[in-house]
Amino acid sequence: MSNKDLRKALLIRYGVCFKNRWYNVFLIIIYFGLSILEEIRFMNVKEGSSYIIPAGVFAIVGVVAILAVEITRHEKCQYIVPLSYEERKRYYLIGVLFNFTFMLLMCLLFMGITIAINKEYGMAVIKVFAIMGLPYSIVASFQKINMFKGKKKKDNPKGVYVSYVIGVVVGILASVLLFQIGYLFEHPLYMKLTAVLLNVLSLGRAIYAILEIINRDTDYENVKVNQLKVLKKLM
Amino acid sequence: MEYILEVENVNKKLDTFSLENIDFKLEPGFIMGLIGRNGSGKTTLINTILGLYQKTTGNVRICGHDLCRDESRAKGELGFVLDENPFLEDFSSLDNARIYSSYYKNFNMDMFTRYCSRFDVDPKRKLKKLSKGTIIKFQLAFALSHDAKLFVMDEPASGLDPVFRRELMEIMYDAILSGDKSILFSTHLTEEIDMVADYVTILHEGKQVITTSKEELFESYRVVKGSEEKIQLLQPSVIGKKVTPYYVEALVKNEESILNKGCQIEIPTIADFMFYFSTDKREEFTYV
Repeated sequence: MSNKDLRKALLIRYGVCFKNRWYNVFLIIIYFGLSILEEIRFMNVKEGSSYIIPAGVFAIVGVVAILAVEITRHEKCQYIVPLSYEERKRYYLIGVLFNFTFMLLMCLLFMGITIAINKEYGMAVIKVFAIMGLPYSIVASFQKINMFKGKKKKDNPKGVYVSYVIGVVVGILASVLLFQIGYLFEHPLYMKLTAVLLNVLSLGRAIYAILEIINRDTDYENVKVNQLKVLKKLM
Repeated sequence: MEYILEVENVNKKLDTFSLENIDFKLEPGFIMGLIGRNGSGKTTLINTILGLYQKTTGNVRICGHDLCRDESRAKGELGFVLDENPFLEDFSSLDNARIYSSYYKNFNMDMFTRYCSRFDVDPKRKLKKLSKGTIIKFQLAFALSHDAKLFVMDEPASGLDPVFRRELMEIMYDAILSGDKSILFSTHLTEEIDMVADYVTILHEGKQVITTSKEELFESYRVVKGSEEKIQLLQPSVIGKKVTPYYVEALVKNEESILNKGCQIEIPTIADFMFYFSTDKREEFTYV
């Protein structure tokens, strides 16, 4: 299949997924609405925390991510339909690009709205985006793609195990960081360092994921067995 | 002659199981049944033909297209019906068809809806709300709608009621009527083989015991019953035997030498073949 056909197949899939998850649109509207209202209230009464707004950005990104990663879900059918190994790789890589673009657009839209309302808070949103939004979007784009990597069954699935544990730990740290974001705003140096560190980490993760897609075999059974082994251990 | 399916010396090594030197061909217009006990390698072989498993060595060709070198063309000729539903359960049949039809050049959505209506599949119901039989019918409708040449079915009738099993057999017959399509299906229900299969492949512990036409199979072997001494006289022709308190029963090659030995001779059933070919101690079973 040509890239055009693969893009078309992906868009059809997005359309069907979106049709089946249309209620998520309400969640996005609610998050958007609440964040904007909170911002207006803060500007008027100067009470509460303005950082609830950036938190809203990532809640939105999270909801979009749930929708977007449908596309790169690891499923049996994807290995039976007439896609060659090369085509399947291209399909997933285009999917990753779609996911990332989609999430980035949502973030940019929110940042644009915030800047239009108040430039100062708009800048705060951009900073939080640099610290968390961008790395999160990158990693979320690759979240399901990880499952594509088919390690040989004889291999120790330690890598997958470590990947899950790191994912959970990073998720907890990200939540803690979001709650402590006020502290970072008071210490710009720490803010910059955190932003650089998180972005470098996420880029490293993205590069690793791409290499996995390019280099590993795609034996469905091996992928599945490794996933199950790891999940059993984690349970 | 161009074969629909060519499996050449296929080996697949798994952790505790391996498929060894599987080699057979299937012509257009025929149905081949894969039989064997649980764990004999039927599903492993089917997964290898579908490309879900990467074979360790050997070749699989579908309509002349090599599954390794020309994967997308080979898979384009494949229709699949699996015991474990490979489609998205949270979506309806129609949505699944929309998503996966985009990979097939010849997928006909009108034909799909017609088949759904014929098979009584509600295209708007989520797969997770459909019965197992209906999911099988949906998979069949999908496979038939993209003009597949080879239908690969993994235990399509296991766990289904007898009425639907009969219906499925009729659908299988219909599917190959045009003469340019073939079916490979695995089962441990011997009556299915009796009803529809033209060829039979028996697997045991990952090894191919025999591949032959059903007629040849029934022509080449006989079940004989008699006393221990009488059966002993047939020894060179004996494939396996079982000893009961009253008589000895054996599967033997259908040769002139088995005649006039005072044994009762019967035509074996598929269940007999499975029993004698698919056991570890083929030589002798003693029932006390």
